[in-house]
Amino acid sequence: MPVTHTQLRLSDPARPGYDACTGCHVCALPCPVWQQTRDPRLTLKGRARALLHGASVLEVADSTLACVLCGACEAVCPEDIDTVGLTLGLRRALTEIGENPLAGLDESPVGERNHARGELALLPRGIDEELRARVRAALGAELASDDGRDIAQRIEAGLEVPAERSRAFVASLPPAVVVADGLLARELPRLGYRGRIRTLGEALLALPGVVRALGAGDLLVIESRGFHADHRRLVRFYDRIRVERGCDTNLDLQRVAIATGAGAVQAAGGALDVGRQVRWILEGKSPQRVVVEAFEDLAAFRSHADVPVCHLAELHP
Amino acid sequence: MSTTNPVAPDSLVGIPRQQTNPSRWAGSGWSSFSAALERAGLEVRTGQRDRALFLTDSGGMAFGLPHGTLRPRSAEDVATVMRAAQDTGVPVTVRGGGLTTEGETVAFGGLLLDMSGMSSVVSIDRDNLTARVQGGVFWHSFTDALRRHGLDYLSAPLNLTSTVGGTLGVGGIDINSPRLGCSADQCVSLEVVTPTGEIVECSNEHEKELFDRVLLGYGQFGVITEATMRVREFTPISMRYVYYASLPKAIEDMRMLVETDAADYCGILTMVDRAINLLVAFDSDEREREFVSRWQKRLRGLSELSFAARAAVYYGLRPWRMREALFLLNRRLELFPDFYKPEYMRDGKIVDRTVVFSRAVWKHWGGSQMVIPDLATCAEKFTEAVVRGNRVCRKYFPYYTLYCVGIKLFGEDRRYELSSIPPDAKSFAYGCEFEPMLFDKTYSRDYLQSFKNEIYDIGADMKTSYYRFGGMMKGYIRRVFGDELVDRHLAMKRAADPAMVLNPDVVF
Repeated sequence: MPVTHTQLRLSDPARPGYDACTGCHVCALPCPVWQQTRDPRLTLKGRARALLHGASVLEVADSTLACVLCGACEAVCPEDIDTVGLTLGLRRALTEIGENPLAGLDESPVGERNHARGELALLPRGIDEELRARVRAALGAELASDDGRDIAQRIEAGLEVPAERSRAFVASLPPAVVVADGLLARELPRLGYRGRIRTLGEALLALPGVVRALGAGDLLVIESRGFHADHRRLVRFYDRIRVERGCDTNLDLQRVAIATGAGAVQAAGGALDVGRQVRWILEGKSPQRVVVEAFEDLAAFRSHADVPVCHLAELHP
Repeated sequence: MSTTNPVAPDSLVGIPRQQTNPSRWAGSGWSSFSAALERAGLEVRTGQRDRALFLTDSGGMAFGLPHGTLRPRSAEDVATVMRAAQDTGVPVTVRGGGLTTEGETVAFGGLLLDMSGMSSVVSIDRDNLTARVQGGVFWHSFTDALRRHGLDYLSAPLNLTSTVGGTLGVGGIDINSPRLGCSADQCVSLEVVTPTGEIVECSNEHEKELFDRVLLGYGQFGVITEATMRVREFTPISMRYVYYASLPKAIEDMRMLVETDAADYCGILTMVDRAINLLVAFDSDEREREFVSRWQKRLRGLSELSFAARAAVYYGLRPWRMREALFLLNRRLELFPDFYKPEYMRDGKIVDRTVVFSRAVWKHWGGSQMVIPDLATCAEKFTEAVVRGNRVCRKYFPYYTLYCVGIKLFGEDRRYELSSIPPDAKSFAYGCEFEPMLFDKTYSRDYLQSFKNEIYDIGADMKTSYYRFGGMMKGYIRRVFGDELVDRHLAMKRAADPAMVLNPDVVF
């Protein structure tokens, strides 16, 4: 029995759903999958229009699974459709019918419960220890022992997050957090967290020493998921930094961040050519240094750019 | 001429209504056509999902499904398609961004050729200020590539999701068209696949006849697979507004600015009948200073502050028009900030106007149905055409926007024949789009069609032209241009496209 759109509530009920899609195609312009494939079926518009015309969840599975959830489409949609929520909903629907290949991914282990009272930094535990230490020193924040990565992975893959797990995680968080994983930053309020959320990039760029270290020869690569989750506010934050420091960024003409896709759950499967994204970001630019916010982008740029690459935290004096 | 099955009541005495929606192609020859393409290694997609993506266009009034869709990757692919189409008689509808409003890019059966697969910027020649692009490239992608080299296009529709090929086929109007003409005037050369499947490079110097037929040719004489466009150095723009309570006065002033080359960008945008906005913009401080010293004082409009004061008095004395006053205020508060977002401003100038305007268009005027009938006239007829069109808008809708612009013409070029450029226009043509604000209200298809027809009837009555005259309104073509011209072009079309398969029912 095909599952059709009429049977599903796919996205945030408080916001317009895919039925509000006018087919304008603006969402496809910054889409990394569109950029590489030029296949309209694999874009948000392709999914929305297909569902509107009676396609089943299974019929749009290739499109649903190709998305890297960078959220650029959400930031530019003139109808304010919950585009990321729609794609996540489609992935959950695929899981429900036993057709989600992402369901078998290896999950990160759950860490010890967090006990911090001050601002807590949620950094993935797998990253380089020296870099973790630098972030900790720069922010002066405690690092989370439970980073919530398993939750972010399950959400991204379209798996249910056990209510008990999400409740316990949210309860362990202090009133202010810095979140490195952009998808987790987006989803925390939906999980019931009511405290202050800053992305790692925003938190580091709030430090005068870090901002002063940026200059005209730098290309600042903004982490796309967290940026687009709070685009209206953050676009002005980053614009001020760009003007003040004269650095370049990975923002396109619509002021959305071109994603490398390196952090996507299916990146290892080669759904998106990360190198091609990096080359697109760099095209026509000649930075002397690339400064990245996302840990995954360090390796991506080091592999494909022939200029020094560092993490934003490394700019902290 | 058949007058059966009318789509709307007559609105102009003496002009009989006719059904102009094409009927669905019956499908004869499809199997051998698709088999020939597959033998040539081309993938024809026939799934419901593939076809449904192209069910309608931006107009949202015409609906039709192709038998299959195909995304060519090269001119050779397109040539293979066209040769097979000639052999089998299968209609081919070419689609770029699908931003037509009369169903011109909706396939009522046959093959839909989705050009968005051919959307690369091939090369940028900084020294000669030209760029070579594939026909299916979106202006946004083109602009994005140009900006990385400090360059910009010259004139293009205020829409991110139009394609270069699609635009060149109809003209392409920008608010700098008073200086630079339409997008088609910026084209240096084209690679075209003819309806019979030959790949031809054409320009003003080489194969000029084909060049002139394809530019502004509504897709009748070939598929644009590549184009070389003139480009320029990028400049941010500064914008000024002048406000009017009288539409004719605003139009006269706009004409004065257009015909004296007083501004780099110039256009009219109305909010309500008594609030008309003449916008002017400049690429350089020098041009702006010249405007201020020479032309500004000749304008009869008001500054925003003076206009607001007068409007307050006007509406204060007419409390029964309070709803209109509130609409106006709301429009001012909602729309204008979108033109001045800090992330698009540098030192008081707008950076990336293409994005600023396009995003505003989609946000404030976009929707599942884009109802934008228009009239394109010579200078002398323009005021009357706009005033009459405005009256039609008032009859049908509580709120609407008129967007008027001038278009510089470059000589008596044959490319302007049977196009959006009216035959009687000299030096400049003028265009006006009439766009109702539909908001969330649902109007019947018949109601919207009647509105459009009534605007188009003005054109038929006044012998103007239209930006868009294909698809569902192709019946107007003979009325406006006359049998002699249309028959001459029909003969050319028959010679170029013996099976009459390329973009059927758009014009012929």
